[in-house]
Amino acid sequence: MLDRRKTLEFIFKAVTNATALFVVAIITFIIGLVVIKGSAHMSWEFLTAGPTGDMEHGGIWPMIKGTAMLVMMMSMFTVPLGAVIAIYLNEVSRRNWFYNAVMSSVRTLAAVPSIVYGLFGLAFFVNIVGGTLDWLIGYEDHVFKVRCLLWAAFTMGALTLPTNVISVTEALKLVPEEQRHAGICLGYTRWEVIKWVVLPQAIGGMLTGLVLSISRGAGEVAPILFVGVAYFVPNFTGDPLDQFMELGYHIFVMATQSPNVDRAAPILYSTTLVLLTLTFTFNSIGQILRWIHRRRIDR
Amino acid sequence: MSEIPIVTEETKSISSDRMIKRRKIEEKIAIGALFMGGAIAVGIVLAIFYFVIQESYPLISDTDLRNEMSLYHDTENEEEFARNASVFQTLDNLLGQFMWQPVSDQPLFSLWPLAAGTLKITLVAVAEGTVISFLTAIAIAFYLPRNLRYTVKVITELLAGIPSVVLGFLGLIYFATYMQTITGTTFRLNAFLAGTMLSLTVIPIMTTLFEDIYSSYSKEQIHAAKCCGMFDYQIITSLIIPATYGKVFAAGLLGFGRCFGETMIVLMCSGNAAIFSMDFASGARTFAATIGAEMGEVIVGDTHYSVLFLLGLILIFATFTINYFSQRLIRRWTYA
Repeated sequence: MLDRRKTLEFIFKAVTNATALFVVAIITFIIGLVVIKGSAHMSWEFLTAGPTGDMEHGGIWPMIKGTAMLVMMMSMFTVPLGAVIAIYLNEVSRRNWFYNAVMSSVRTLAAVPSIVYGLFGLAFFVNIVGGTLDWLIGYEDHVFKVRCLLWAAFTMGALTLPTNVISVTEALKLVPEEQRHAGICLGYTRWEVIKWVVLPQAIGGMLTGLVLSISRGAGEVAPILFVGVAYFVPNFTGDPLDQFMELGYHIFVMATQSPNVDRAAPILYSTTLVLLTLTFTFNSIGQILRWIHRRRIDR
Repeated sequence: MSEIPIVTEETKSISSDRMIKRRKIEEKIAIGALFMGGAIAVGIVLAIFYFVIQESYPLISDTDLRNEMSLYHDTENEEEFARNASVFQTLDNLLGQFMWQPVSDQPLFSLWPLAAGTLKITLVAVAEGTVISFLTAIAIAFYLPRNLRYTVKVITELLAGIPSVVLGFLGLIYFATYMQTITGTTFRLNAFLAGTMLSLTVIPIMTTLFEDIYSSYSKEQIHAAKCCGMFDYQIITSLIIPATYGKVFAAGLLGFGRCFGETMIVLMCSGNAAIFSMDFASGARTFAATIGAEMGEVIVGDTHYSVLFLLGLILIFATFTINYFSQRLIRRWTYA
């Protein structure tokens, strides 16, 4: 009896530990694969030059620039809005129906599949907002009603909104209630409590949200597939009303539609390495910030 | 005029009504702005629903689109036929046949092949993801040496930071060939490969959830069981699994919702063949991947365009329902 139990225990332990190690091994393998295969083609020129000849030579500078522009414009929109929503939910709102509506909206935004954001971006930002702006300025040909960087950034902003709300909420929850009470005792209004007591301590949360949403926004491709990203824009000037190239989309297009995938593979691995470095760096910075913040409050 | 003024211009203004009025206005503006922020969040969600519905609504409201959708063209009296094209023509095209051929003389938009493909890939991903995360979570909670537990946890969460396009790319370029040699399938890109790559995106989420569930299980009961001489595996199989299976089910449902709408991995690894079969070794096409692949080339306002928005609507409602139920389950099932 004891022998059987000991065997079973051993089997359980072996199987679960093996699975855990298997997961770790797969992750290490994936990262190692990208790093090793990607570093072969990596050079300063690869990072700073434009693509040449069939996209199988040259560098990836336009894609890096496009990604950076996208992420910057996205954060300008999503970080303040996320902070405002989080502050409203935690500091201002009473627990009424509107609070519940905002709360479940944020949850829904986090659950909506990313491709649906693409549909939303196309139907709302490009067709409706762009169309209205065109109508307002009275142009015959489309100026705003085009698939471009601006609308892609807005779409991506809607996608990363929940990340920001959650980060700032976490930071707000850590502000001691006594400090708010002290503010009220000094005769502060609700807004002054937020401005002088809560906001300075929520900056950390906003920073975390910024960094995490950059990591997410740089990695997502599905929402911008048909809202502004393009296969080849040789001289992208950085105009928000222009189509742009993006790292993730470049990987997708080159891997699925390139005439000769084997010849493109080295460049693709290097592009993947750049993208992975980008998202990983920002993700780890975000996690470390979050950790530091929690520790500071714990003490 | 006194030499030392008791009430300066400054103190006067602070105590004055004007100052109080300014503060009140500032308060009103700020609170109003914060309220607007909340309203924008609600607005975005409503706008997503509204515009996806609005763009797919012509399928049943517009006669031209209904006519284009109809499967049986009467060439003799085309005009009368066009006037009479009913909602049933649209429904018949969507549900009454089994082919997805959006670009042809007679466009066919059957939802069945896409539904089968989505189900196929999601099932593979959730099955693999649940089993692997379940075992990993148990290892982290019970069996791994204590100094390794945290490391394994952090490394598993690292997987969540890998963009899905990278996983899709590696699946397409690298893993597909090896997978074909191992499983011996005819097609290099198939539903099984896509499901396997997709499971990598749910493993970090589900492992974290499972691990939370297991490590928050009452410590006293575990100690009591150990005192009775139970082995760890007995504690797991006879105490923890029966007490937490509801939560585990809910976590699986959550993973299902996540897989359902994933686009890039499926688009790159599944082969994108719209066939109505449950054969895991053949290609598959999901709702999300169809939108991703075809939306770039359609004409705005076309039948095809509206059908793609309809697919988006299906995606929204499916994930919405799945998430709603899994959240409810997670909240309801307590550890007994």
